[in-house]
Amino acid sequence: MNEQVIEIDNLSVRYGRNVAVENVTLNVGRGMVYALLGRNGAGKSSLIRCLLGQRKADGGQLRLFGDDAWRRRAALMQRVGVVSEEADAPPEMSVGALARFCRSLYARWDQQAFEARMRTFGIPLTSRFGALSKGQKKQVSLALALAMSPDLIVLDDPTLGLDVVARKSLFEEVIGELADRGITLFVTTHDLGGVETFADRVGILQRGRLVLDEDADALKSRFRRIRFAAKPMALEAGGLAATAMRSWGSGAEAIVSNYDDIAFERFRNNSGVNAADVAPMTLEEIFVAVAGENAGGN
Amino acid sequence: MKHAFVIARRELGEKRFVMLAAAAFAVLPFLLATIPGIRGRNGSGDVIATGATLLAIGFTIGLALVLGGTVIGRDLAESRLSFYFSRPVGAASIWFGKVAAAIALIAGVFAIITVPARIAAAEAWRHSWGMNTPGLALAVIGIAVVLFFVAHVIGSFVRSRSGWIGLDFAALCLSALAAYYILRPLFESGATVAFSVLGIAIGCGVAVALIGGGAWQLERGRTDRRRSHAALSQFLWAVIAVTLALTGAFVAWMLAAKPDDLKTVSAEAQGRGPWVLVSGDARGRMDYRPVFAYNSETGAHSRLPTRVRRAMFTRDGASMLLARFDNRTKTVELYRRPVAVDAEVSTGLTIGPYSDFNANDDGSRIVSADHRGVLTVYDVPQKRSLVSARLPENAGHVIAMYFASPALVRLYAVNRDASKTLRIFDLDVTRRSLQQTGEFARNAKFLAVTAGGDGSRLLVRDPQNLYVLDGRTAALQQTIPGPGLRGSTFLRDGGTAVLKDAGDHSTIEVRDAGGALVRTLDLPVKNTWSLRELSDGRFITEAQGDRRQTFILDPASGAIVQQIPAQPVSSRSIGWAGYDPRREPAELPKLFFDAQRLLRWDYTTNKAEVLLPKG
Repeated sequence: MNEQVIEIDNLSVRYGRNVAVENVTLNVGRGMVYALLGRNGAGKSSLIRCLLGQRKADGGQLRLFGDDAWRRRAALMQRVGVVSEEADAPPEMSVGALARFCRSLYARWDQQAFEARMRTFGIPLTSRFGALSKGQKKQVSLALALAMSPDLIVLDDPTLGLDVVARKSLFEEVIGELADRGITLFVTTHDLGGVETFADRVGILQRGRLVLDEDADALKSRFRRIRFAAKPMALEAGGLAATAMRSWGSGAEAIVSNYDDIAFERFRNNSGVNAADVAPMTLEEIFVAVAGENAGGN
Repeated sequence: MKHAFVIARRELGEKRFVMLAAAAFAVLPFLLATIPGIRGRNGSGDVIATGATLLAIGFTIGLALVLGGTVIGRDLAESRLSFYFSRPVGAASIWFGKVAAAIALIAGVFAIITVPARIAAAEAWRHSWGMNTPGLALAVIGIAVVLFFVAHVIGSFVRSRSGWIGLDFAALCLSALAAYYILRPLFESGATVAFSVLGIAIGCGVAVALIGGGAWQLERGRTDRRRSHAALSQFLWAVIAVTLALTGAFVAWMLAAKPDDLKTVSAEAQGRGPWVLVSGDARGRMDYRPVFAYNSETGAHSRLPTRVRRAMFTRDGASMLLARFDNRTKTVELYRRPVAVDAEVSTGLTIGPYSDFNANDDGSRIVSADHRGVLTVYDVPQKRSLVSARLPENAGHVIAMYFASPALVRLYAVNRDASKTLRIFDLDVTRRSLQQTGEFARNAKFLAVTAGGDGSRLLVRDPQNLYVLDGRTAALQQTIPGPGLRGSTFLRDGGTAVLKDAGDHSTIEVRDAGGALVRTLDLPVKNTWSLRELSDGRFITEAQGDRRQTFILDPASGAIVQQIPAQPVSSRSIGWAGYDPRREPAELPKLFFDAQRLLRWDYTTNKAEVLLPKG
């Protein structure tokens, strides 16, 4: 995991006066699964466009496999598979024609793997791309991205439009398998439950700023929901930082972002609190706590 | 290259239905030919040939516009370009692949529609288009390809919905204006080769801008609609601006030619004094021929404006009248300027393109005569017309005119009939009257007129004889038999001298004021023409042998006292400016031209000094 596949340094993207991405810095190592989370308009798509060399950053640097993503886009795309948010393949092309087109562009094209995945997804090669359902288009795009034997796959909200079964298949079978094979994954998604099990690192974009960039396990270990039966205590006295505090029944609920057992025990001993329920949080709960219900995009 | 081919193949596959549509259109002319009543001069073949041609042109042009408008613009607007940009293909491959496919489609549909008709109605096709089918195809496909690129630019601009489009419009207007001002001087100066070459150069620049613009647009703008527009605009207008700047600089350099740049010289006219009008081919200027007022003594010069087609020195030699043709109004505006100064001032007088004009001695008054016989005397300082009159219907056209005084213009008109009549008119500015003062008729093909220095007597020549007439009344005073006549002049003593061709030599007959033959001089020179008396009494004549030569003769013996291997600069005007018939005794000429050189003759050493071209 030493080699950096993605290096983003102080990246900024602007549309006129609007700032879409502001001074974002993050790194993704080889074999890592990075989940970039953010509400609509948070700047995820702008960042992905820069990552794929489709848009020049207004500030900062973005390197893929050590090369400038903007200048060396065409060469880098030999190693990068892309599943974009909106299906962008020409609608009049058949699935087979799409594969033939891609085969002539990629050096490491695996036609058998592509056809096998199409059989798995139940999509005939003769189907016109434009006639496929939204989920099927995503599956074809994913199969195309995987058939070129990529070193990095960029998935821009890959489960958008997929039904529950397809979503489960995508995350558990395909992405899980890729992660096991050491292929680097960069995923933006709203399906936080899906990525929770295999994301190595999580980043949260809020109003264009990367407000969180951390190992998934460490993140989940330091966030806790603490419910108090009575009036909430001053958590700061115990060295705990409350990200959010709200009433809960007759008591209160606090989200703590730097939880550890020793600190909490010390706090409980000092404050004399007896009835406190401590629960771990899901990635989705952490995202809501960090991004906030009203802290949306631009 | 390989990727461009892959993309071209994909684009062709996507649009193969266009070929099917073209095939359907190819059938239409044959169906039309089966309809009773629709027949050409050569039967149904005409219908097939003409129908197929019109359909092919319409379909090809329409297709080019649609393809151009959508080739990038639609993909950008519908966010489909990311399909290509997320693949390992360069922007240039995407663009040139799409362009190659579009051109193949354009050429393909033209062929699909025309080839069956060309084969089935070969005779009618030959009748309509001759054997130049490839020329027709090339022209239609060429125009369609140009329209494809133009439509691409417009399509990209419109679909971007960006404020850049206002700047694009401004840049388009500026570019068109710049091209007009760059090429106009060449067109106006009649430099058709230079005009064409630079026009093609600008066209090539625009072609590079249009073709390369798409590649640059995709390379810099990629999937971003507005950046794509900005990139296309920047490339397009930058390349066009550089092209215009280069051609503009070249034209400016062409127009800034100096007499030193002339490699061949034509001495056009000479005023009184050292000033001479010269033109010629300048180094590196193609067929642009600048015209200069050139001081043969000091080398000072000023260039005449490019729009000047006609120019004349005034009789006092101090200023010039320049005629500028305005292509828009098809009129000629007269300008006046001191010979040495590079700034002409409009006289305010505008005349017709075929009007003749002349000025008084200092150029303060101008008389013009148009092809309908309308005469106008114009005062330059006051910028107003003093008098206008029209010649009688039967008078014909003015062949010569001059200011006898600032208030009196004398005109000579000859009718256009087979039998010629010379009519003399006085246009009196003070009395505002036009009066015929004399008439001289001869059954001859032409009548040519010269006058003495004061205009009191005329020498009128027809194919047979030379006549001495009164300069005002045209009363016949003498008839001199004129077979072989080559030149004639009045002498200072009132007599005449007539130059005649005598086969292997020439003769000069000298007569007294009464017409009696005083003596005949034999010249050992043939092919002579023109005879003048110099102010010192000697004669000067010119001859055309292997080259033009000038001879100065002793009036008593006819002996050649000076032989100069060149021709004197004798005319006072260029380009059909007013013809003044008066011939005064000439000063000993110093300036000559020969073999495209301007020479100054040194009578003491009998050697010529080449003034122009330099080096």
